[in-house]
Amino acid sequence: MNEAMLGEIRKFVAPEFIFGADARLLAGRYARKLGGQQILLISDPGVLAAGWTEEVATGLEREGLTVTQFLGVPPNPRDTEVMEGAALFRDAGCNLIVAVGGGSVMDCAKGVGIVAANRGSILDFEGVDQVPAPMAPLICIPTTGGTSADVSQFAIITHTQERVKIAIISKAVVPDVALIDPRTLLTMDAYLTACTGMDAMVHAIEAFVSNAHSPITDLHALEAIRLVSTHLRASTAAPADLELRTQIMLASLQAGLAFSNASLGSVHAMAHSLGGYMDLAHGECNALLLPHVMDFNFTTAPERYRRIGEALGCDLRGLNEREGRSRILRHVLDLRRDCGIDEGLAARGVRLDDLPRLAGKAILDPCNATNPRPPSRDDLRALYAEAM
Amino acid sequence: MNEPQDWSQLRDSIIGLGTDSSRRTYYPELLARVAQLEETRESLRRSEENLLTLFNGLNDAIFIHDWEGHVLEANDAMLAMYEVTRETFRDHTIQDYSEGPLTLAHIETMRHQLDRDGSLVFEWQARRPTRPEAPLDVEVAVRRVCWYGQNALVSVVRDISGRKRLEAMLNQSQRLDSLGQLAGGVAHDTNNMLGVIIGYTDLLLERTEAMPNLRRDLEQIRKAALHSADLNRQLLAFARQQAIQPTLLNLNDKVEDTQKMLRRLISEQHTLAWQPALGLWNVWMDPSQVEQILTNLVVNARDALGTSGTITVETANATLGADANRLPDAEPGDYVVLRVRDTGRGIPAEILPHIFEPFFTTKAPGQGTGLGLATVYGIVRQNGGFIQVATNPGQGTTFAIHLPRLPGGNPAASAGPAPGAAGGHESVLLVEDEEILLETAARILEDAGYQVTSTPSPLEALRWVEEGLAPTLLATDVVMPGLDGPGLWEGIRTLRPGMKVLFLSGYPASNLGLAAPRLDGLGFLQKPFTRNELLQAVRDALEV
Repeated sequence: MNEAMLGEIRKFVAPEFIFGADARLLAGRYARKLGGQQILLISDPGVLAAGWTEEVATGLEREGLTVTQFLGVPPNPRDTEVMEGAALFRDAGCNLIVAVGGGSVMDCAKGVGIVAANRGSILDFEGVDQVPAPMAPLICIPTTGGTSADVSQFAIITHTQERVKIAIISKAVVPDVALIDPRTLLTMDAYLTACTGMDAMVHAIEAFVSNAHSPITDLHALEAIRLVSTHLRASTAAPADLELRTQIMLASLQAGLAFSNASLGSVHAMAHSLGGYMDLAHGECNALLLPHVMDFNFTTAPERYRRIGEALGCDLRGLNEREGRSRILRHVLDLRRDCGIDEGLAARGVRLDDLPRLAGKAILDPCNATNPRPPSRDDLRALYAEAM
Repeated sequence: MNEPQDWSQLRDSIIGLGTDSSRRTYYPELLARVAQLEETRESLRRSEENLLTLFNGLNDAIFIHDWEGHVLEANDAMLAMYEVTRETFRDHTIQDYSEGPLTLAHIETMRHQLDRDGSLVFEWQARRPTRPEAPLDVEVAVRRVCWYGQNALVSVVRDISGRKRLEAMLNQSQRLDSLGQLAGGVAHDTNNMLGVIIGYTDLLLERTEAMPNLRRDLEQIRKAALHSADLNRQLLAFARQQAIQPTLLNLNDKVEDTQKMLRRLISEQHTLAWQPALGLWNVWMDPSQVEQILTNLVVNARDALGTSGTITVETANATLGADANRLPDAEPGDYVVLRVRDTGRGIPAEILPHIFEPFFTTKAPGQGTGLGLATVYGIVRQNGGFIQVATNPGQGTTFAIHLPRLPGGNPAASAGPAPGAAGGHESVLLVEDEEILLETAARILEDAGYQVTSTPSPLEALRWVEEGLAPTLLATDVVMPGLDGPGLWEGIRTLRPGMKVLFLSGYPASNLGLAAPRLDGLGFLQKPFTRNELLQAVRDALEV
């Protein structure tokens, strides 16, 4: 596998990004440099309450830019909100978008940009490389550590009628600039910290075992796994520790760079279906499904899972494949539980007769394309059942 | 789609190796937009060029000016109308281009009307800065315009002096028409009375051969009545209701014939020049009307000349095209022109509009009736022609009478003059609603030996015939209440096919709806008539 991979030409896409405390304060300068005049500032009520939105708006206005705010983005953004935002973008004559928030806000911003540039419905752009016209410049300021939408070519939008999340994968939705400021994580509570941290972990693991991984993505993936495994417990316990927040933010960035270029796997395929149906937080879904998909994939790529185990900090010396697999899964389960993500899907309202539908939607998700073991619909249904 | 089939192709696309996976930039789109902008700019340029051509192609003058009256832009027609150049037109304000003063109140009214209606149109007098003594009648249409960001007005100015002139001419024409109707009506009624006076006077004259004193008095009455009848005829001529006997006529011959008579009208100090055109077209006209025209015009010319000068009578052919409508009463076609030109004092402008009105005269009391030009006007209009007057103070006046050319060959020549009057013994049924005239006519006919049955009622006349009355001749008025003359004739003719008829009327035959063929072979006598005329007409009608 490694040799075939070495013979394959590869691309690595990443936006210009600034990493470090107070990077968010550069929003005004970048917006002006990118030619912005009328700015659509997209955020959500939680981030607004935390004060980050107003601070960025002020920074933009200080540069002489006009700001129109779109603050109605809920967790798991829906097609309807995207269309609303696009209409506002056009009506206000905007020419640049600044997103301040988590994955929901940034994905919504990408959707707004796509529709504003291409017209039509956001649902028309589902799939890979379906966005014809490039969109207006987009500056992302992430306020959660895990989503990585600020560096990725993914946008996940909920299809309201079908109650499923659709994936839009295109180079056109890679932001122009990411201002990655660990200080913004200080306002996250412990559970959100856990979910988003586990999200970064899943990004890294899926990217590492992806059949599209590459030497460059491997580096970022393993480093992200090591950082999350080392610092997430402590960070959930000490939310005000900027040092720990910085480590998790860095993990999120590394995981983002890895998965944006190596893509993901069936955990994400299943999480998109589940999140769209139950309106559960994306990181939480990922965390609940991860061990079961790892178990399902393990025999296809045992060597790569062993290296994941090492990055997680498992002592695998002297263990055979079966024993190693058990220890790695145990480690992941422990981390999840220690961070406060407990119980399974049943406790979150999923019923057994929901499973065929969830599997039916999940099997259509493009993330399955890079899962090391191609799943069938029945496989996915069985995996949902295990995660109950 | 249940399960995506080709995971590996999807994988390649996701990691950026698909054909559509390259990042796109704005650059090609920007180029396309720049090209589109260039195209738009070119199309705007062409559009502006076209609009400028339209702007300068219009006949109306267009000003763009601000509320203070500064002229911002103007079209070629404005330069031509106001006699300024592209270099100088901005040197003058709207006030300079206006004959009357533009008061603040006027501007406020304009502003108010523009706010209310969006536009306004008014008549105005324009002033040419280089020729302020000759103002122009114009119509101005004003709208607001935002002229390159400035609140301004666009004024479209149309020269209506031509229209004004035509309107004045039309007014004159209509006024003469109404006067004609009035005069015709009065003359018609007076005619009947004159007929009575003349008729009874003639009867008395028959019986007073032995009383010379009484006879002289009666002759005076008759002379006065005939004079009035003559005035009446002129009024009817003016009213285009003169009874006429048109015939093929060459004006050259007719003018030639009248030379002697015309020379008698003018004095020895005056010269009468006669310039006939060669190959002159014919007209269809009563020769006596040509005489009337010539007499009136030459007398007027003579009076305009004073002690000496020249009167020129000339003829010409003329063809008028579509622009004939610019002349009053004129229509396109071929015309024979009879011009009477004098070298006299000319007609003052304030008098010119009234010269064809009856009883309008500039001569001393007793020197003219004021019916001369009115008669000429009526005759010319009755014959489908028109008159052009050209006059300049101190340089004389030319009346150009245009008479329609007679197309085609020579129509049947009119009958010769009637032989002397004579009586008879035939039976005549006389119908005339004016009883006094009925009585007069009956007396004249009875005295001449005819057996007359008379009634003022056409219906009674018809009944008598139905009951067996069988006269040789029906002599009837034309316009009567109940049943008109022609109607009565129709009714009687079916009962008495061999019967003759004579119509008596104050109106000419053509005014009564009696088409020439219908009148062919039928007698017609214009009122008022003398005894001899009536007897002659009755005789003629019986002889047909």
